[in-house]
Amino acid sequence: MAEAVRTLERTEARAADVWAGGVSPFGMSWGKFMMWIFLLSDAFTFGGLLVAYGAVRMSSGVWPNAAEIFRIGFVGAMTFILICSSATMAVAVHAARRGDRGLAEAFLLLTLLGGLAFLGMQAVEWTHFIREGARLSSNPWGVPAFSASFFIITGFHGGHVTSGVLYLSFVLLKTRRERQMLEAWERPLRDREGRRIHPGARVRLLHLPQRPELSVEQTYPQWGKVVVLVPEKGPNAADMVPAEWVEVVEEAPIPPNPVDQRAHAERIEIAGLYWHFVDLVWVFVFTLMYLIPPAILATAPH
Amino acid sequence: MQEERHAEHGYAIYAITWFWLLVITVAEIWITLIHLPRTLLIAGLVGMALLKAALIMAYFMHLRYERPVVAAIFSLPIAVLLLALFAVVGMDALAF
Repeated sequence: MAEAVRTLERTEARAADVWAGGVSPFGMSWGKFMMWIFLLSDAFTFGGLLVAYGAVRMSSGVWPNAAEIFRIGFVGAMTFILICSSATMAVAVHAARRGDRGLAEAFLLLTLLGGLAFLGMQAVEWTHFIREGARLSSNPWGVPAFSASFFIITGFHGGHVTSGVLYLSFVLLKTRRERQMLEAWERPLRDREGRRIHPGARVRLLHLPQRPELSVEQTYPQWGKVVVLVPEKGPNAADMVPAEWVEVVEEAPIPPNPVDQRAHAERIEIAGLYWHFVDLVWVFVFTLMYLIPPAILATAPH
Repeated sequence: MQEERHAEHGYAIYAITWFWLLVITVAEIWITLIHLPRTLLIAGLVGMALLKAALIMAYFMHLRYERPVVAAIFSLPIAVLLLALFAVVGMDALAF
């Protein structure tokens, strides 16, 4: 036993030396670390696409002037919205870490709305560009790679924003459900005498006093409803009844806190890393695709 | 612990980061409107993009509050990849 403990201590000390993070590499949780690794691989993909774009632009010689084709003010507004949504995400992460669940939820929602606004504006931007005559393999400015690289790179980025909006939606739904669970735990339903109705409590139905005692399976304080097991109907049969029908015969012990505050904060933090990365990539897409002027102008024939 | 140290600062740092990101974005658009030599313009734009990336990574993604090695495992491979790609593809492109 003592030998095993010593071996474990030695292993932990060695792990601490190697990773500088005790027994967890780099002093962060595996979920956060894996998100960093994923973002690194994603950065490789975007890096490859942007370098390929640069190479095509350089070897093409002529290139259309993005400043005349796109509305830079409009794209600037898209950039503004994405930066704002990144800032609101950072606030949501910080609020979650501090345990301010209400603020975290509100700022997650704001971030989500920012992402949706960005996607809507990108749809407008694409429509505008397509109406000008741009296609994936051709465009009126005579440099096919111009529209091809635009659609591929902004499309790939837009796909990331779409995934991010879905990701944030799931995180937001989970946060909302946890808030309801927490509220239910903090303010449990009570019967007429003020006895707490928790899962596991033994209860009677007031209007059916002749029936045997029932066991509470689940409670829904937000609707004032109680789910009781009804053994005579089957092994797993349950009925949902209003809380005011219930009289507690025997209280259940107070259940442990149903939500994990650390997991909640970390879930939002990991989602935040992804969202900031999408903003980070846009910084380079915006600069390289919209702002850098061509050395030699290609112009439309009209 | 890292996290306790991090939790000490307030929300102000995010507002400050947000403000500077917007200022740099406006500067990026402005610099394309004044007539600078192309090389200077590109250097300015790339420099400002890198500055924005650094701000986002340091404060929004909390890299400043992680161990320095975390910033290294993220930045170094990207730098190596970009250099390698430029060395191979960039030379080819210039040869045209």
